[in-house]
Amino acid sequence: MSKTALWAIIILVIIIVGVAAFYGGMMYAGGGAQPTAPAKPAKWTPPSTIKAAWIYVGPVGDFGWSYMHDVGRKVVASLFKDWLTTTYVESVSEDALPQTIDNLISQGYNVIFTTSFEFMDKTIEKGKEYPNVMFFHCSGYKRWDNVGTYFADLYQIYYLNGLIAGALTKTGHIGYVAAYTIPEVVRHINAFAIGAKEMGEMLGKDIKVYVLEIGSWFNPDAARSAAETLWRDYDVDVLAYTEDSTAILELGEEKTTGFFNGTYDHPLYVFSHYSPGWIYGKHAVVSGQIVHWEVIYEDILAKIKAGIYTPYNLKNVDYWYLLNTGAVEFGAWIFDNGTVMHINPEIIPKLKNITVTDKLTGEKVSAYDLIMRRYQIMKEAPLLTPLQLTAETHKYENIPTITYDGHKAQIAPAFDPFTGPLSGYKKEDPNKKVTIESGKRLGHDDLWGMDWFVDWVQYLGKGG
Amino acid sequence: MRNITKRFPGVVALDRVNLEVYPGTIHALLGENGAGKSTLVKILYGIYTPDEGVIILNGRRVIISSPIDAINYGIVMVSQSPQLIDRLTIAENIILGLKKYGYYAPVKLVEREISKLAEEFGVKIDPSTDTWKLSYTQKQMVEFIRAMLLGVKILLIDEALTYLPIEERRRFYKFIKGFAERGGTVLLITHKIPEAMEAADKITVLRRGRVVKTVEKTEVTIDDIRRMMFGERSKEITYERLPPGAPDGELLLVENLWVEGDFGGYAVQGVSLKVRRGEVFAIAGVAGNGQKELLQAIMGLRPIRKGKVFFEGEDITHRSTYYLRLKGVGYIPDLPAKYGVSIENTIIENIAVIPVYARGFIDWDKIRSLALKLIREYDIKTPSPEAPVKYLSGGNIMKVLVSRELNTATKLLVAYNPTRALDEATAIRVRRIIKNKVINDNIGALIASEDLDEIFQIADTIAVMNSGRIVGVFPAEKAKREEIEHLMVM
Amino acid sequence: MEFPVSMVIVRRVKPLPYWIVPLLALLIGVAVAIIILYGMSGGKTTPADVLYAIRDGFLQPHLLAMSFAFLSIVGVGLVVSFKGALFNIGGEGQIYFGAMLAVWAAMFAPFSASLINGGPLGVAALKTLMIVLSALAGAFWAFIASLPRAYLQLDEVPVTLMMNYIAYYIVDILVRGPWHERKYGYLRTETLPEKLWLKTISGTTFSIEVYILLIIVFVAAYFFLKYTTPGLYLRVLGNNPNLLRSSGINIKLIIMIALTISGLIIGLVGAGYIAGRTHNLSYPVEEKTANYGYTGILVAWLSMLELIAVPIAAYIIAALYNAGINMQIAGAGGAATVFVFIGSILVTYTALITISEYKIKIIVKRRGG
Repeated sequence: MSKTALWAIIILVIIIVGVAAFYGGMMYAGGGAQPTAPAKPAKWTPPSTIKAAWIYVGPVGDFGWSYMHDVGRKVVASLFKDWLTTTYVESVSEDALPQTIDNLISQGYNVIFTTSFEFMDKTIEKGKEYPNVMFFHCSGYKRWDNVGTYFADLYQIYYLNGLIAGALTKTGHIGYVAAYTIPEVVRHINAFAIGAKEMGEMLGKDIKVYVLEIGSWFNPDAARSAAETLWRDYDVDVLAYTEDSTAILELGEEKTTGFFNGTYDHPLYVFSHYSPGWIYGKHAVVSGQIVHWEVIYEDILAKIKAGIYTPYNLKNVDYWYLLNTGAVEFGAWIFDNGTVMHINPEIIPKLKNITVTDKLTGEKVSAYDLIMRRYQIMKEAPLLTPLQLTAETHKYENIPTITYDGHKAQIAPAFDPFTGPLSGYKKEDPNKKVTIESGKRLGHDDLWGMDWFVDWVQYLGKGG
Repeated sequence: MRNITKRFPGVVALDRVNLEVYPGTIHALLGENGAGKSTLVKILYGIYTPDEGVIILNGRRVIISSPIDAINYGIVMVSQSPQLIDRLTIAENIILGLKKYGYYAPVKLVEREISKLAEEFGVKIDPSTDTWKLSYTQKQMVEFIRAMLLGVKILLIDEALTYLPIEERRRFYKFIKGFAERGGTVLLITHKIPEAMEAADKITVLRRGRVVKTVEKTEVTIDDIRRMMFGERSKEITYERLPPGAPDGELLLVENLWVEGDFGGYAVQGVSLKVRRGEVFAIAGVAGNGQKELLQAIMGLRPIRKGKVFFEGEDITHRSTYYLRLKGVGYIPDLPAKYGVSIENTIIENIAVIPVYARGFIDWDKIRSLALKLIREYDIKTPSPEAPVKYLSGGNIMKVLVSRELNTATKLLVAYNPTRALDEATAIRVRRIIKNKVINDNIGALIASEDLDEIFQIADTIAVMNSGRIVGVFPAEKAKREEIEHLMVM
Repeated sequence: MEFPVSMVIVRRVKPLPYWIVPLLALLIGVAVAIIILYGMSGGKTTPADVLYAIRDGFLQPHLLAMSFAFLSIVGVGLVVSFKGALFNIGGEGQIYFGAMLAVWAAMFAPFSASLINGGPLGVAALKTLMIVLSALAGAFWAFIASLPRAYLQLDEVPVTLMMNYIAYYIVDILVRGPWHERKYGYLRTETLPEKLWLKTISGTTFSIEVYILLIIVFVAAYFFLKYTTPGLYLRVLGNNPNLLRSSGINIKLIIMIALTISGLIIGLVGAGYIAGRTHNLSYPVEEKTANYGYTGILVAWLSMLELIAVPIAAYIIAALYNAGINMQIAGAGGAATVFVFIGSILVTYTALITISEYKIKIIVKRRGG
């Protein structure tokens, strides 16, 4: 009896001591770790050598997202070799990010690029912890005194790809394999669907876009099997995707050449994603999206070197770079001489043989010409680039022209795919309808938080 | 071997031991539990390295640092437990240890040699039999054959024959005598004096890590050897009946008990018995006649199919072992190292594991003083109560178990072969302690034993068990040895 | 079925001294890693680079503090079960089941909002609740795994391993479904309110709260193993369950207690991981996990199941991970470097522990040949 009591007492004491120590410690830690506002130095001198580090969520060998960031890194590392040293850390999970940043800073790195949306909160956290280090976070929306954000967006390219898809499809069934259906990808799906519908309607096709989500940025097996499902079960003959491997391109090539040989009854044309992918499917890859992160990295690092960006003024630095900046490109390949293959030469004759009406001018043109006209319009919007640099000026970006003294000045491109009338439904609740009135052009914030699909997109859920 | 000394933490296991063994002889190494026999053999086999002293083989000093060295010198050990792999055949097991055939041993050739050697034993055995089908005796025979095929010159037999039935043992004796006649050397390690007297040419007696004397077998009598082995204690050795208890009142009552064996079928078939306070109730019988299952069933370790067990009038038929332990029942199982102690744990841990000594919280001081008391009372040779049991000799391990269980048995002791691993002097001493406890503390004891000497020495009542049934119950003073032996094998 | 070649493992008569195995595993493992990295980089990564990275890895305790503490806690939890020869491979599941309840308590429970807004006392109560629930969830998860072990004698290794995936998928379902943040559409929960984060000393990952937990766990585990009968039975269970049986100890109960306590301790890391590291749960968890549950197994092994050696082993492993990151920063190989380190040591250790106790022999059967 007494022994049991003794035991109970000991346990009780341990618990009490533990709890007391726990709260004591918490108060101590709470008091001790209060972040103190960094004293702003009177004058900021940019470091003579900039040590910049890139943190990637995937492996640099993915041939997609992380690969293209690393290409950007290599370009700036050679360009600014006099005053810039770089390094990178790959396959960093969200959990390992803080420790990776700590390690980098302990080794003297003073500019850190974190290139995944998941890194947003922890980048801000670490930004507060190291107020004298500059951070740039790719694809997020949270900023701090020393944390800027940047993004190069592809929706215009997806629209152009969509035009081609609408021209090529025979079944009218178009596919999209999505990594996640986050707003960025939803935006791209919609732009692609809008392009396909615009072209398809003119050709009397009933366009449907089927979307499968695979739940991973890099998963060749899942991507391949999702694409296969769409091709086989939904008669999809043209497909775009968001995933960082080349698996779908290879699958497309197999199906398309099989179609040419008569093995299959329909082909699978595909659009390469993120990096030039034409060589992975010389018959099936019709076009694609290419990104040039170096355009943004050059700008950021040059401005740091010049003392324009400091750890105290990044709060509103937000790059939202579109086709006119050169940060993104419409095409599937870059030739050695630097010219871009916008559309696979094998496909061009097919597009040239289709005649459609350009709804902007009413002219009868070939499908090829229509696509290239739209490309030119979006590519040439000279006043837009500086607006796309800061968060404060995003509100001006969807103004196509302004009038002064009776003259017109071009700000944004004369055409934007996200212009009403459009109708769709909420992703979370398909019964909730979304209507964009005729003539209204969506701005940065609408696009950034896009959570609805246009009506002819059918979300099939998670598959693969 | 010259001046061999080996120290373990806290004890000197061997103190300047000299041993000379000649080719063509069977040399017995005798000693009580913990005398240092096993240590000496392990040094010779390269498992231990001596702290001092040298080993001289055929006039040359050798260093044996592993069993591989030993085998290269022609020294092979056969130990108490066969080192065979069950899922291999006999031939495959033997090939494992053989280098002379290279890595691609021709199984056929080896099988032929095995059959030939088996015939020398007077046994026919198929070398392609899977090992798990063999009996203990057959496994030991395979060990001997392996030793022969290894080209053994000096054969170390470490208690390997001690637990074999007498007829089987004699066959092995014949075999090693043949080996010795062909010039081989045998070192026979045992704590049983009759075994040494029967098989050996020469006998060396070890006591407390020292050599007492080396003698020719023909020069001495059993009593001389006893004196050498136990010194003063040899006087204690006697096989007279211990003073009788005073049976009074019923303690344990077993009624028509039916218990299944390991392989189905009833190992215990309707056993009824009654153990009184102040009585040693002994069950005689040849191993495997249901004694083990009977005791396990009483202890709650084996399900009872039919029948009832009462303890102090209370029906305990389906009660747990835990319940019986707390009631004051001590239990000494067969194969103590397997069922009775955990050799990786320390002595005090092996005591504290019995629920009567610690429930919930463990008072190590209390356990430690109990351990010290038991070490003193039972003369357990150990560096400290915190020593892992594996550092103790076989007999001392048994003493740890027996002392713990006797201390636990405040009402009833259930035991199976309680003195099997002990040397003569210790065994008799343990019997005395059990008997004294029965008389003085008025407890009951239910003891099954395969040793009739033990039964006659300790029992107040003798029951004979055969084929799962009690075939006869006799008051000890009226029991006749011949009759009981007859009932055992009938 | 007869195979012409059969491999047999024979127990050594004379095992190697036990402390030598982890030590040798570390040294040989690092040497193997150096060779692999040298080869992988085509000669660019010199042994000196690797050794400097390892040195730096070890000399950054401020960066290691948190992962060290988590690994230690998991290590202690695993040692508790490993001592009884119960191989709890389910640390991951126990951590994630704990993390799940911690997240529930912090953000989705009916009381969450009122406690967070209830001043420092409310926040402290919620934090404590997260930790307690996390531990209980881990205990519950391990308890379930202990049942088939205790009552059906099913090997606990596959059972606990499967339970990891069940836990992952339960969390996945929640994170994809009812718990996922609506604002941006990512398959992840909202970020934990900042008040509930573990406070770390600025510039380090040292959190006094985690260390208090670690000390409590350490002392309690020591006390449990040394001074309680279940602790003693557990240690005996690993050596000779027959003794427990004949002593009248309920082995089923001990198995359940051992695994449950193991899960209780490991479950703590779930709350710690959420409050100290990720601040959210993110789909798919099986890909995002920091694998403390699995790495902890390595820690427990390297400690040779000695409680006192667990922190040492945990520090070594945490430092080697850190060294791997340092090597990447120094440009000596990609993400694989970390795994090269850990993998080489693990493989070496496994080989050595086998060689130290067993000999491997190969015999060729040539029936009738």
